[in-house]
Amino acid sequence: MKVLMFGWEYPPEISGGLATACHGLVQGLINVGYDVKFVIPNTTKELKTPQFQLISASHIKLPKKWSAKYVTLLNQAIYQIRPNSFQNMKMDTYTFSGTYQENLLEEVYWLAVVASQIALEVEFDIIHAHDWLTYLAGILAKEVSGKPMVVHVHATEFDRSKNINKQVFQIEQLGMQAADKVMTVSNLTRKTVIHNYHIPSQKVITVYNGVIQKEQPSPLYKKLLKDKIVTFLGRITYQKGPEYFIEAAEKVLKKNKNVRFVMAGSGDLMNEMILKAASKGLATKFHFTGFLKGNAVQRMLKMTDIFVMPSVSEPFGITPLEAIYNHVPVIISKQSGVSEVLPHVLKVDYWDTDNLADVIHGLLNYKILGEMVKGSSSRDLKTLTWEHTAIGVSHIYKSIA
Amino acid sequence: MKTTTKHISFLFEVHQPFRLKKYHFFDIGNDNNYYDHENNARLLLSIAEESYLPTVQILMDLINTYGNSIKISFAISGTALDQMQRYAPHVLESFQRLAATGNVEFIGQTNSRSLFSATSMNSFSMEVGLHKKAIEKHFRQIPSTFLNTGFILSEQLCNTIFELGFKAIITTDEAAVVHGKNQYAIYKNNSVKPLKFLLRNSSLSNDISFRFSQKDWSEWPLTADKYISWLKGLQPKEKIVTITMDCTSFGSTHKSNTGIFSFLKFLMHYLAEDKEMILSTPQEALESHQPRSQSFFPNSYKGSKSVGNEVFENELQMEAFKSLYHLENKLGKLNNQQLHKDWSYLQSADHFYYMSDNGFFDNYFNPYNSPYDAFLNYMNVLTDFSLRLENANKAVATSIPLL
Repeated sequence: MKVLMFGWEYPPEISGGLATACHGLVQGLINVGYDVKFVIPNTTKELKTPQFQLISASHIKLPKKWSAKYVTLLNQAIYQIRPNSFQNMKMDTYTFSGTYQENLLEEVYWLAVVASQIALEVEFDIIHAHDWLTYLAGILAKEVSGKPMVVHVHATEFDRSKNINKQVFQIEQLGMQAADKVMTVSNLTRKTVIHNYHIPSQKVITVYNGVIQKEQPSPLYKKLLKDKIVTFLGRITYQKGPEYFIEAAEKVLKKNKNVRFVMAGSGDLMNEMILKAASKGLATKFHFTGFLKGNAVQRMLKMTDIFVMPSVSEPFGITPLEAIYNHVPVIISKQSGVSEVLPHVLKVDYWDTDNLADVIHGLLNYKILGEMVKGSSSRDLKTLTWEHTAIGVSHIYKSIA
Repeated sequence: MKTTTKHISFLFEVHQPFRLKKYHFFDIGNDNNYYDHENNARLLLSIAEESYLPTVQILMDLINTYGNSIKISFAISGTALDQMQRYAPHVLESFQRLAATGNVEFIGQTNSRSLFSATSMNSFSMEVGLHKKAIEKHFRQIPSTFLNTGFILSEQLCNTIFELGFKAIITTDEAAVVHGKNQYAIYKNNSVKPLKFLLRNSSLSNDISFRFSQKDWSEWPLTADKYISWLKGLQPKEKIVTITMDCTSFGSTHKSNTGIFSFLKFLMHYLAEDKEMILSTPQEALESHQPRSQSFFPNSYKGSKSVGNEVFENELQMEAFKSLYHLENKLGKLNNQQLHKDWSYLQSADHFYYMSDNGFFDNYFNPYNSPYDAFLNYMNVLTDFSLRLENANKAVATSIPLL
């Protein structure tokens, strides 16, 4: 079976966890026998192997003249773009930035335009769209080809910000309504889809993410500090709860001087968090690394003694799985989807920084606790492979294709 | 007494641990009150209301009606007694009235339901001594029958228990069942001091304590008639029946609307009137027949220096327990009442049970959300306790005048 996938990120174009998840899923699907064509807005490295092709939407030639049928279709689906803007287009391709900048919505619409063209040229049996950025593209591809579509909800607007962007919400809802099945990364997200987007529950199926379980070459890193290291690794945004990490750090540092806290990542709250840590007088024990890419993530995990993910709202959250894989004891918030598949990690309410501080302290002082958590959660991890996920996805494909 | 007479002993266990309050690591060194008095009091009062008080009342009424035909025994832990004294004196008084009838035997235990019998005879003996004093103080009795936490048993332990003045131990029928021996008899073992063993009949005990209200059980509903017919159906040589259960089986595990109290009333009523079955206290049962010698040890647990898999199921429990008993030496000869009280309260097996996956699932008095929470909280408390011991020892050392 051939799958046409749309995503906003795919290695090497990585900005967050989405690329990692898409990559893992594609590897899993390939291993269970699928052919995958993966469209992203822009990449200079269009890969091609017998079972896989990475397609840059920026390279797709658009027709000089659009047939009336598509004009109507595009007008209906993406009325926000004036017809003449693509009908009378001078260029024969649209160049995407593929980032998350201000003209994001425009690019989202243009991806749909390009998708309608791709759906004509490429051979496939099913459409798979990752997150709202590509739902319109999925809808157009479905309209053009008549092939079934699944949308894959890695996150919803409710996870991203306190203020819901109406346009984004509408696109999400359109995609979920048009889809033959909606896949969610956790039951937490499934509930959001059913209750906040009013999608019939029988159409929404949870498929948990996996983690790539392949021994990474051990980076040449020696622990230089004898202090224990407690790490937050992820985007520094409201959703990830960075402020709770700082508050817990302050509480731990009052009692325990032989520990350092690291906030690894970047995001819109980064400067605010730097100020917050400084104003609490933590600067000598609290470090910011900025955005970590590729190998640096592994390196960070290898030097980590305790991994914390205090997310306020986390549809899934793959990094704790990577931390467990690197034999690091993990503390996650009860408000994260990944806690559904990790019965044996330490869990706290994200707002309960007293408890978070307590658990960090416990791991620092009572060695057996960390050993227990590492051992039991490693066992939890064994079943969380992308092959396992791919088999779940495959069942969904077969139910509609 | 006819030779076919059967002796039926009912033992009601009453225990409440001093559950710990949420003890943050920043409390270490700052706060030496470890217990969640509010929650402990609330639980004790609600359990007393639904279970202890109505059960005692039924037994009182039965004794008033049938006199010496009603004999029973109670094993009340020292921590439960302390809690009654502190939170609910009326509950203690109700047990005292029951004791005053003279128809109740009180069983010896460790004060806090400690697991120290597996590691330290010294601390174990202290615990037993504390409990003995408490029983004497509240009920004017000196216990002669012993019931150990988790039925832990070893040769050394038997000798210690004998030296502490006990005549018999109640243990499980596991080994008798395994060896195909009569489970309804009194035993002794020649390799240890002349202690007698009564075997808790696990099947008949669990029928009441666990299965009574389980609707998917083939014997549900269990009536007093049916239970009596089982007892009557025993062979002539099966003479001693020891049934033990937690008192909370009546009213808490099985709520009053399951008919558990009527069951108790009618069961006792039938037994009181029966010619071939006698309700006995354990000591009376022990006097009634000669013990059988046995080559097998009455319990499958052999005891060992390190408490391991026989008692605990995971490393958290073992580590926490190890950390506790390492403090034994620090306690030494310190003469500080509060430290000794905490030392006893922190030994309750319940604290370790909360750290197991099972404790998490089937104990609704468990105050924790996970075994990890239970471990962390306990260890924080223990760390503070250990600091207090160190400080107390330093104070003692510095107060010795230099010659």
